[in-house]
Amino acid sequence: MREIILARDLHFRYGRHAALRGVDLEIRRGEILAVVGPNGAGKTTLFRLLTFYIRPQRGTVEYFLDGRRTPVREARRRIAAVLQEPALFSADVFGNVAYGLFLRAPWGERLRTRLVRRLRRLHAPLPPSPLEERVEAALSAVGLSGFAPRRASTLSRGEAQRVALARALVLEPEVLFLDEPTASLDPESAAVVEEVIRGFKESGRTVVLSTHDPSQARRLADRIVRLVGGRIVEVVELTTYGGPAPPPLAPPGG
Amino acid sequence: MGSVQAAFSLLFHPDRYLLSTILVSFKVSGVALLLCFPVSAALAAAIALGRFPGKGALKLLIRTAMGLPSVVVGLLVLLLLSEAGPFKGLLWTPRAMVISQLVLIIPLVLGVMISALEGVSRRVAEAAHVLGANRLQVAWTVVREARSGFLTAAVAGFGRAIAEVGSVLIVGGNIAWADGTSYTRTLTTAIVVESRKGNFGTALAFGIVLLVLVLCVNLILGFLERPGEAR
Repeated sequence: MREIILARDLHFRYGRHAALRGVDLEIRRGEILAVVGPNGAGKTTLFRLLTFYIRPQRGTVEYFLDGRRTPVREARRRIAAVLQEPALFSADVFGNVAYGLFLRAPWGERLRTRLVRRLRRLHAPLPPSPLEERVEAALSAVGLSGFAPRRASTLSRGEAQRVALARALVLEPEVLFLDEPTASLDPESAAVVEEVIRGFKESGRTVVLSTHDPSQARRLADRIVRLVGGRIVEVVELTTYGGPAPPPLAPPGG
Repeated sequence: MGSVQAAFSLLFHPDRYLLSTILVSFKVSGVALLLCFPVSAALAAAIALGRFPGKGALKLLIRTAMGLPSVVVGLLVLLLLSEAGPFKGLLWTPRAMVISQLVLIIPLVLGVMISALEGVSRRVAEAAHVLGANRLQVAWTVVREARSGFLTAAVAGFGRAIAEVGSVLIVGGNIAWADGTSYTRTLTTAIVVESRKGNFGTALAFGIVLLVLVLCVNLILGFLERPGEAR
């Protein structure tokens, strides 16, 4: 099945304010879907529903990652998101990027990585653990090689947003959600982020991003969904489907 | 001036009375804090991160109880532990003092922890969620973000416990054996009796020890509070 996420009739209100009023949306494997719309149109709320951070008051969100319905718990492990604010944890960059990996790794590997890092601080010349290698690869993908020991609080806004991106990328999610990934970023950071998004799609994975920059949406997206006042008012197809199927996903950890 | 001299001579040549009283104070307040901390941490996380009816009222209750007068707590614990109450046999023991200090500091520690947790941006919880954390892992992440506030809570709790007089006096009984060993006499209750007896030098020495101990605890925790490296 081409559609991997089906959202039906999503409603959500904060008190009296209706943020979403009946949104139907399907997301296809391997596409870049851009959600555009003015501030307050419901983009962030839609993302929170799609990532199961909040539950719809009416309607459903379902994942079909392997052709049949994927349980929420499993789907959550196979997706990742970057929020509008980086919201880094008060740790070093390594701790931030390794966060999701630590959640998923068996305790032996977590222990090994902690031990290696502690001993290295005592000048023990130890090779990086597999987990450290993955973190470093994700950091270099966003142009922040060597930033691992920096404290999150010392980063610039652009660097922090790129760390937030690396923190999601390192998990090799099948679907990546990006809420306004380049809003208020310097041009250099914004270019890096766009390049990462394109590379991510080339590996056959799916990207859902929101933006209020129409030119960015046209540059990146296969499909644009316009959200106004909590409703989808327009869907624009920028590339025609029906061509060769997207390449299969790389095996996890590869 | 005589009492200041007496105070310092006692401080430089501490006797069994002084040392055993320090020990009682530390044991009682330390055990109270150790028992209080994990319970309060779990409760604070549940209250600050949970959504349930009556949450506002519960927080108001906790904030009110933060300023609970220690004599009132002492009186209530006395009634609970007295011969007519459900827990007889504990009265006038260090255990009774631990119980009353627990009642006294749990609201304070809980209140400080809750505000620390609520000070952590909701975005941090969302970030943890979208990286795959389950509810328990999200809670743990938020608690770790609030760790300096938790240290503040511990300092405040220990400070209140070791400095309070009212409840330990009522349920502990201020007992010291004839050989000068304190049983349920703490630094604070010792100051009360010694100054009543006119031994101002001894009372002053106890007061200085109390201040220095509280200062030391703050220094140690201040050192721990420095931003450490991530695990």
